[in-house]
Amino acid sequence: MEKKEASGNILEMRQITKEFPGVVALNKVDFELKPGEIHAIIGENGAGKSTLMKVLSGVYPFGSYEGDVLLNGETVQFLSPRNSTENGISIVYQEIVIVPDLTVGENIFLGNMQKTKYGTIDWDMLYAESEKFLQRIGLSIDPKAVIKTLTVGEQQLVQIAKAIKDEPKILILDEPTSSLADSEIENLFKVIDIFCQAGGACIYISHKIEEVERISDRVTVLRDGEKIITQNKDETSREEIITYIVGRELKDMYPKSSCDIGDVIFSVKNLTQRESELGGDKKRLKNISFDLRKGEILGVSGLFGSGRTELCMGLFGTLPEVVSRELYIHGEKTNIKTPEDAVKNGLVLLTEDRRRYGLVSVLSTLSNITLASLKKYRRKVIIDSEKETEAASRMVDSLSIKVPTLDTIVENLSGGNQQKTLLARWILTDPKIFILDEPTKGIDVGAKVGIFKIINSLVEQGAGVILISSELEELLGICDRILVMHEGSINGEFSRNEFDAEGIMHCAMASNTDIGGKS
Amino acid sequence: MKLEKIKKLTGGSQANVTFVIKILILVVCAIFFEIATRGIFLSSRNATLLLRQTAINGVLATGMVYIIVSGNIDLSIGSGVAMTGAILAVLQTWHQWGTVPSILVVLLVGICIGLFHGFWIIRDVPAFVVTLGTMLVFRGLALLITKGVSIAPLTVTTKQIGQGFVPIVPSIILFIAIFVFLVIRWFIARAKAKSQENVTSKKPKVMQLVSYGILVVAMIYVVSGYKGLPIPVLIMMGLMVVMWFLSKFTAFGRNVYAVGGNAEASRYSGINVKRVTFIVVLIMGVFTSIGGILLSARLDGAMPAMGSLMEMDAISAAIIGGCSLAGGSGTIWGALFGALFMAALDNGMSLLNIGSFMQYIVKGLIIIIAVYSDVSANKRK
Repeated sequence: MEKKEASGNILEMRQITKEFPGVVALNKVDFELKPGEIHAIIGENGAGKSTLMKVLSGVYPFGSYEGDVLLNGETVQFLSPRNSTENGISIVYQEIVIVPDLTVGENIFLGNMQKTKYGTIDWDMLYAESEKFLQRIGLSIDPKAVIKTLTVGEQQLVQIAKAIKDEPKILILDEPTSSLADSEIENLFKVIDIFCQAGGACIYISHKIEEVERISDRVTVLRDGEKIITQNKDETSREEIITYIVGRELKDMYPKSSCDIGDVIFSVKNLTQRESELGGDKKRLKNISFDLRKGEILGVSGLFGSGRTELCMGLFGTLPEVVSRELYIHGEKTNIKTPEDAVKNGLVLLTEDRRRYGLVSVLSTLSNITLASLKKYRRKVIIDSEKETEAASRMVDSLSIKVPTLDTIVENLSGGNQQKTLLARWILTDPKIFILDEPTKGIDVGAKVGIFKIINSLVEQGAGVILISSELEELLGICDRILVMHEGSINGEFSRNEFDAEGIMHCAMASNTDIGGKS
Repeated sequence: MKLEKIKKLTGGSQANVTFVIKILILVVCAIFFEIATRGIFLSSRNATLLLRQTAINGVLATGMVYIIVSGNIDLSIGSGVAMTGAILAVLQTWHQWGTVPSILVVLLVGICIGLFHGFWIIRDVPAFVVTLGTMLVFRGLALLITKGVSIAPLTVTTKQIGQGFVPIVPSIILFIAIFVFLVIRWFIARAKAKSQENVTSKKPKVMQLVSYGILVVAMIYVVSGYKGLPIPVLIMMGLMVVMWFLSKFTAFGRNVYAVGGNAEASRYSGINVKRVTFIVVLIMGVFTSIGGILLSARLDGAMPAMGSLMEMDAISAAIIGGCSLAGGSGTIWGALFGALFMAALDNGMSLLNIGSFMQYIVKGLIIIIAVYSDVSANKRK
């Protein structure tokens, strides 16, 4: 598959394998980069793109992975990010990591200030140099502007400018456009072009095909930690790349079981969150109403920021500034002000941010599984540890959680098993309504199928499930009905026989097909 | 490879290993002091006094374990001890109150301390700030109540709480009873582990039984050779057992660890985080007042400056014993070890006529090294 390059690669990564407890993040990945080239790495979340770059930049030090990294034909062993910087590799992350209270010029020269002969900072020189440099790479940003007064996009550009100031040989950009407006993206591409024309090589990580098509010379597709293919851009098509990225049959991924759908067990009426006083925030909820039936898997789709997570929080009693809301469980009006109320009423939420809102990472798997249901194992006030252990091991068996012993600290489990641990925590409280916010985020494919099987068994046992996901494919595969959110309101509803990926995407992106309407 | 051996003997977990290493260090220190003092350090008399020295800090450290595990801190303990001790002395000496009512009032004051702290902490004022404030407030109140002078003496009964002894024979019987209880518990746990081997890895080790034996024999040696078991030590042991039991066998105790480990996750699991925090802070208030009672009883009086830096001793004992200031981990028995270790250093160095200046320096360095060893052990894992 791979064309043999004679030589002239500035970078070669050979057979890189990186394992985390329980997960193979990278499996024998090869990657090479030529001088002056823009080489894109594309793949889904969790495909291994960032992991590969962390190996290259020394965040994962030599010895923690298998395989070789060759720079200009010589093996290098980076022990820290500092080593890679010294060798001319510069990486710009998605997040802004420049000092917000300093000026553009100060940031660009940070750590390497221009000095006068008295050892004080030569401000005139510094700003003159900054200006010249910014012009050279085609950016019109005032070097005396304080960073925090710039837009996020401009900050990102300054960050990239800072990264190429020391003329690295290799520039790595990790999802650089996620916070950029269209005009800024043009600027970014100009900067990259100038950099590469001067002989630099650029690794461009993205999951946006259009950008990759526009700017890259070659494309490498990663999927589930493996390299699928490397191709010249001219020799491939968008469709082909998509096939490589997804590359699996939907049927195997989403085992949809048939299950009778019963009466309405949960209704939400007029969930509204107060508009932000700043005005600019669009994540506020507007008049959200829907029903959930027994045995039903109700999907919630929508773009990032459309209010999906706020919806979950609003149902679970953790959303601030709720103006109006009525919840009915089995037709009875229920007041849920805190998670404590929610759990008591049989409503549980598996949060998107597992580490922050889910796991108590310092405690054992046992403690994590029984955390929400401890009171059940009490005789008077004392916890019957036998009963507790039995309940937990029943869960470990039925959800097939892979864990050496129940005493294993939960932090040492793989992402998928951690997620199952959290599901087990909720199942033990016997809830009627499950809200699952991105339950498959950041876990590998095999574990995903496991999670879907668990979701199926939940509805088979008579629960109702609200499934929030940003992977449409997932929702189409497993849900009975899908609600589509757009800017804080429900913008459409699709039942299983009218599922249509394009229609749903359209509904998620455009507000002109309003059903709820704007307030 | 040595580490591996210790690991096997102690049942595997890294925490156990570091704990065993710490105990070995304590043993080495004890042997050093024993030799350097030509047999005074480990004499029954000195060991008894050492235990009595440990008692107050042990009580306070027990409360502090809960505070630190729950992710909080309490800087007001020293001042709180002074204030509650002063109230006890004023009631008994100036107002001729009896032992029981005055102690009840002081315990009530302890509850009030907890309520006051809790009031602010559940309103999201950091515990550090709240107790930094009350550290000053309580010290001021102690000065105000005592009008800045020392007050003595207390009632004879109260004095007994601080200075009295459980006679030798009942003391020995007590420790034999404890031993029998531990042995029975060990055999039950072993039988259980055998019946359901696949589920948990907790199989009690023979090592555990041996260490119980050594501990009980040592305690019997100590209490039989001098006057018996000091009453403050008995009180400390009682409180520790109760608090250990709470932490191990009740939902509340487990929730304290969960809240300290990840407050948000606990809240999202339906735990009332504020209630858990409030109760922990309330307990600390009561323990502070118990500390005040024990201290003034031992001094047979109260002076406004007493108890200063006691919060630091309690915090030190807790963290030497393995509490993480990040919250979520730490044990009562660890804190007992920490308190014992600190008292042993104090006592041993005093016997060797090492000045208090030097003692500060040594203790300070020990704290840093102890925490470093925990941190690096965790990293290795």
